[in-house]
Amino acid sequence: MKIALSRRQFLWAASAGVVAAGLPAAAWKRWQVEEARAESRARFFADPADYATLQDLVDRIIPPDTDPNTGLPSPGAKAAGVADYIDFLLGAFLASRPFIFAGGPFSDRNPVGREGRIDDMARPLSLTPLQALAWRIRIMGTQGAANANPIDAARIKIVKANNVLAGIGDSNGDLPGFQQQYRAGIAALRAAAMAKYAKDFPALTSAQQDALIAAADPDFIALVTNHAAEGMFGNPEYGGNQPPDRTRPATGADGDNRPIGWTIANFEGDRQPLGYTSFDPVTQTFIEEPNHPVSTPDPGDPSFLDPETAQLVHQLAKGLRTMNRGRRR
Amino acid sequence: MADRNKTAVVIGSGAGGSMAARVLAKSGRFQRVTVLEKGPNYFKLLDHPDFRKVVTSFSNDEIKFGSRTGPQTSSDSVDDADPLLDPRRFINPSFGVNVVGEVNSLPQIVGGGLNHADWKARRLRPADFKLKTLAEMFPAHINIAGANVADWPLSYDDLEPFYTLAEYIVGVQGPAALPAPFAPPRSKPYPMPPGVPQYVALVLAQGARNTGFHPFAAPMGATSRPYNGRPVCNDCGFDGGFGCPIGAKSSPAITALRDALLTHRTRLMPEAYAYRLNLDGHRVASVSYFDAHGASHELAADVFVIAASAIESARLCLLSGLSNPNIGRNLMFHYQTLAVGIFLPGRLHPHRGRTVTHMFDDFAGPAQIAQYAGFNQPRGGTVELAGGQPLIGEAKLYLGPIGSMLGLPGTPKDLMRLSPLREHLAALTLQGEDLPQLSNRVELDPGLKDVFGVPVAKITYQNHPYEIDASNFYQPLMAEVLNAAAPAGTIVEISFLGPAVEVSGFVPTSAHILGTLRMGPDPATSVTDAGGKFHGLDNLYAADGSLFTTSGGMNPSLTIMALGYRVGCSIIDPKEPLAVAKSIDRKLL
Repeated sequence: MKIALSRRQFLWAASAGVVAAGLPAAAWKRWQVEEARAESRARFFADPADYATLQDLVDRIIPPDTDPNTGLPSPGAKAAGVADYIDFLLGAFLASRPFIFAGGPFSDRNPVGREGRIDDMARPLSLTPLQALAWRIRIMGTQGAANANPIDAARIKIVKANNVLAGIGDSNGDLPGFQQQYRAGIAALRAAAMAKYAKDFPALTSAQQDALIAAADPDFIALVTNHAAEGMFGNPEYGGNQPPDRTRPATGADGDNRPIGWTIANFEGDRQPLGYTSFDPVTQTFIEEPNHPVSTPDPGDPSFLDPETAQLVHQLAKGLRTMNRGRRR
Repeated sequence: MADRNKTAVVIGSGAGGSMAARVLAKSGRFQRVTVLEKGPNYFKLLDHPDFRKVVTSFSNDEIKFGSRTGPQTSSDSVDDADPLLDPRRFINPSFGVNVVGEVNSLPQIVGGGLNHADWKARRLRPADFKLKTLAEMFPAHINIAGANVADWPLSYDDLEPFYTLAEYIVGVQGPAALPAPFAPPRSKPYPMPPGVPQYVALVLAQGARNTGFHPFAAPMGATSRPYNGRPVCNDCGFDGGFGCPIGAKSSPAITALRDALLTHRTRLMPEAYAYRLNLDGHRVASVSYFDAHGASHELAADVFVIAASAIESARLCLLSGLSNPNIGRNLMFHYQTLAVGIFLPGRLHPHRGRTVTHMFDDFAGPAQIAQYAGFNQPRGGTVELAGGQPLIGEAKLYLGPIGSMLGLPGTPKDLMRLSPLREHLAALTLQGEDLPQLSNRVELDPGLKDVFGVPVAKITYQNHPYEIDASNFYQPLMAEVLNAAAPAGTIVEISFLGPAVEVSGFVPTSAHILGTLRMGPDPATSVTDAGGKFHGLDNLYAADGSLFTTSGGMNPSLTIMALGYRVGCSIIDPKEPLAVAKSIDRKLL
């Protein structure tokens, strides 16, 4: 594991990291990353119109807008690659190495010296037999998982019996997988679009799409919404939260090609091996980064509050209190 | 005891099991110590003499650690038991709750829950071991009526050297002194001074000070100096809920367990699920376990140590047909009470730094019994000061229930930019001592099974007025701290105040799982003795949170480690465990 760095190493690495992360990645590294990608990224949606419908759906859940702080356009879920996040998850077991969880310990966005220059997260973490079983059930459903891997049949039978006792799934304890839920949900949206507007979903205006989403199966929309949050704000290696320039690798917090979701949330993202502090063994003190401090306020933070924001937070806090009272009965 | 050809099996590689394994392996009395771990191993070359060669696949990755959504489950972290395959039942009779799913699951992984926890390295205090005595002396404000309270069969003084050993073996940072009268005496300073404080914790600590309380830098399991070849924590912020990518967090895997492996007398078996102890009279002859592919194996040994954490340890005893009727009873969780505020306008950036860097003990009661004479407040617990939640969790709130239920004017993206529930959120968590009760227990569920076909735990739990009264008493004071923490010209909105249990639909979310195999002198009222040995069995020991006689109001991790170490010593010499410790770790004492 990483050993302690001297202060000089840290300062050098912090500045070098910014520069290096902005340059095109070395060819050999790109090859490694691409190989890992090729082995672990299979897509689920074969019909381009299904995929385009998914793209538009997630883009209505997290739409593009203008950042009120900078006045610049801010991309939505479609540009951030959220549909890919979902497509790769649904297709995980079609790949030779299912990408359910990313590897570790580091990405290549926060290098220090020789550490953190290869994107370990581009490779999937090997799953245990139990993890593979659980995720096959989640993705393919109980029936799909039993068909895909007959050796798991006895275990899936127990899962179904538990589901009956727990009151989840259908009367046999069968659970639908993400694949079935997405297939049905996307088909329903496209059918509704044809029925109501005589056009396919991707050809509709945003307002028309919103109307159909509001009328869609709420369980399906809730599932897509959860996945949209993961894809928008999770690590870029999962397929979503891509940088604006996809021809270059995503950079860390001080680079010029930061993942879209982390830019919106003002979040530096994964941070190892760089971290936020460095221990100087000579002075036995810690050095903090002026732009990303741990123990002091952020530089340039507002010291006053505009009435609109104050109102919003009052309302949020009041609502949370009410919700919590409701739940405590 | 001169026999050096004995073998031991330790079930569970977490805080207690790793410590016990370390003692057994280093003692030289055992030619082979086998550690069975149900979960996977996310370390490579853990037994390499050069720590720099040890590699982990832990990473700064919120999807991997708890944020991939399943159809019926809230979190599917890479290191947890999966509730889809391994559910539990939870029953709370006072609320008529009976649910199946994820109930107090702890990480199942080599090194256990402390890979994942932002663990506070707290000692219980002398009075905490004597709750029954205390209640008899001060009945007016310590009401234990109807509960099954007992004094521990060992005292703080008995455990003190083992606390020191645990602190030095895993590497703990902490302040030069904890504030009197809440601090226990200690024989050695913390091995490392406190690291960089979090801004949010400094803000809350000032609020606590303004309210008349005594905050201090949190003793915790992470490095602040180079330590045994490990690097200094660089405050990446992926602390609570995440495995450490660089080995700065003091996980049992890279400390005690690694020490045991380095003796070359320890064999670590990940993905080995112990499901039955096979008895032969008053002895355990062997343990049956499933391997990763579901094949069953049997392993014989001279000594067996159960350290699977309180719920799973009790379950294993029940599955094995152990007959002591106290097994599984007196389950405790800590009654966690939250006070959550939204601070404006500056960002608190709680995503940088270690999750909890400050706390105060003013609600936990004095350390010594004698000091209770003037303390007319309920015993609550320590109060931890910290900040917001992870990013994806926040996004799911705005995109999901909160956004739609409250009809907020901003879009979810606007809310993510403002980030009231992450960047502006600060919280106090009271780790309230909950009382042991006979009816709070672990049993085998009659219907539910894990995917190996083995019955899973049915947990029945309801609270005693002791902990509810303390929570109610301290809530207004916690709110006062929040209000007093807002710097001049800023505002704080209290968004939540109350017990954490009730927010989460009555299933306790605490990872402090205690009791079930309680220690005590009498087989009629306890399961294990002061050395962790099961009453009536010659070679079976427990070495985890299940041993706790009462829960105290502190993070239990360090106490579990100290007990694990002491149990290991008691196996070798039940009369003089400290002498064994001195022979193994003379340099640390």
